[in-house]
Amino acid sequence: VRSLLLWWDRFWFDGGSAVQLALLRIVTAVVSLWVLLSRDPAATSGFPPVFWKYVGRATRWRYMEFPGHLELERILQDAAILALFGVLLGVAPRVCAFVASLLLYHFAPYEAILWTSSPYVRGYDTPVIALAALAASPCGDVWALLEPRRAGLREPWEYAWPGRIVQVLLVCMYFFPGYSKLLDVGWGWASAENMRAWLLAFNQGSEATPFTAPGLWLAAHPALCEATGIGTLAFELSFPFVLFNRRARWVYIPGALLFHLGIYFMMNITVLYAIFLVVFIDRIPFGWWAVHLLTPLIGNGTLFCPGAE
Amino acid sequence: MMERASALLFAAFVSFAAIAALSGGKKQRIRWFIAFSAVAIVGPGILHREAWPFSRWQLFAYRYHPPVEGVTVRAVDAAGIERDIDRRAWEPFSNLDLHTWIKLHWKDLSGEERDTAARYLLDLVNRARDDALAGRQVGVYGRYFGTFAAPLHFVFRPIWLDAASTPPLRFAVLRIYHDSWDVEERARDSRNWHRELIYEGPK
Repeated sequence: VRSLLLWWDRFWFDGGSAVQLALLRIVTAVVSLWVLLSRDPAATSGFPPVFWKYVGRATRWRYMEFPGHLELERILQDAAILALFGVLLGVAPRVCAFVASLLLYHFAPYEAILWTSSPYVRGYDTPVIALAALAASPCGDVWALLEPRRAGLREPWEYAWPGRIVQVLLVCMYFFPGYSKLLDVGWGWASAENMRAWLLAFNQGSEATPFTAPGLWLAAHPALCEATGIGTLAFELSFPFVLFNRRARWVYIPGALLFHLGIYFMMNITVLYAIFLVVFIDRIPFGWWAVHLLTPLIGNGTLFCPGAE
Repeated sequence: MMERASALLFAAFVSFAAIAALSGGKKQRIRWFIAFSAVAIVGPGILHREAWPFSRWQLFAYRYHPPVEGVTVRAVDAAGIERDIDRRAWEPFSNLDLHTWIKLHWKDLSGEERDTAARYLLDLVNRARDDALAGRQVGVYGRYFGTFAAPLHFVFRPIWLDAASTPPLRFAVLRIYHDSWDVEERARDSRNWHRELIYEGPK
């Protein structure tokens, strides 16, 4: 039991740095702002009541969403944007991260709430959880405008665990789709017939689909369809390796980007959570960027937080 | 039941985060937050239960069963010509969410409710058409970043790009169709699919 606890502690607390946590804070804020400013969730509150007819009471209470309060929702949306700018710039970043997490949870289902209470793959999955973790961590010790100055940095473990939480979340986003395919369909999911059928279904329907030729080409090659199915299951089910093996990241992270690129061209589907794969690019690249590129520009954070490092 | 359980799970998650934040960096409090987060993130996946933001990530976990079914909304202009609609016209609805809502719930609405919904949607479409003709941004998602706005899960190509590609007359009526097809039959002949009018209005 003791060695298990030691392993648990090492898993979550090893290898943190203030710069890396600040980068997680900035990436989370930038992605959240990008998504929020590319949508208008508050506007859903102003839809005629008929669109809300099938939204259950429990769902409304779960997300605290009550139609017909457009002005209030606009104020809350502006508050979420302000809070995210606070996180980005490091102006009371922990308080802002907590407020932003709650508000993004509130706004996340707005695009989808009319028919489902599970708004996944709409851009807020990672930010809601990452922001709550950032709120509980010293994410503004460097590269922050208004964080109280400290005489020095904290112990490395304090900076390590929020990135680990995001890594675990991302691993689930790849592993559980594979697990779901096996639970709901079985190994037959990867069959050439099933792959071909979905590729056809996604490329035969709409005249406004940007790419149809790549998906239809793949559908015409049964062996490639089967290889795609088997490869997808193998990739998803083995993705947890990236948590425990740094070398595996050199294969899986570029592999994930290729995977999403393939899905984009074959099925016209995007997933925004893939951006957060940058949390796996730790140590060498982030450290290298921070030391060689960013430090000359912003002084290793000391421009914003004198005496921090 | 799952709605309440999911709400409680998230409430507990943010409570643990708040306690860890207020503890001033006490390692034990942070350990509790981490342990709870790990269970909350992994648990719904293992149990195959949806509790967003703690999801089971049931992405594309389906076997194909014919037929493919979908909804298409088209608009009829003042001259009686039926035209395709630029997907940005629905914003702040996303195309996926609006079409899924129609597919799931349209049949259960009363005639008056359908007309109310159609009137609102027709107004959105006409506003988008006016914007496209005037060279303004169509829809609201691109208001800050234009074409660099965060993409939706399902990507569609804009079709009202300028005045020349935008229908010149205002729309008077929406038509909603239920489309269905078997993928193999349609692959053999692209005309092998079925379209049924389920609504025309508003009256």
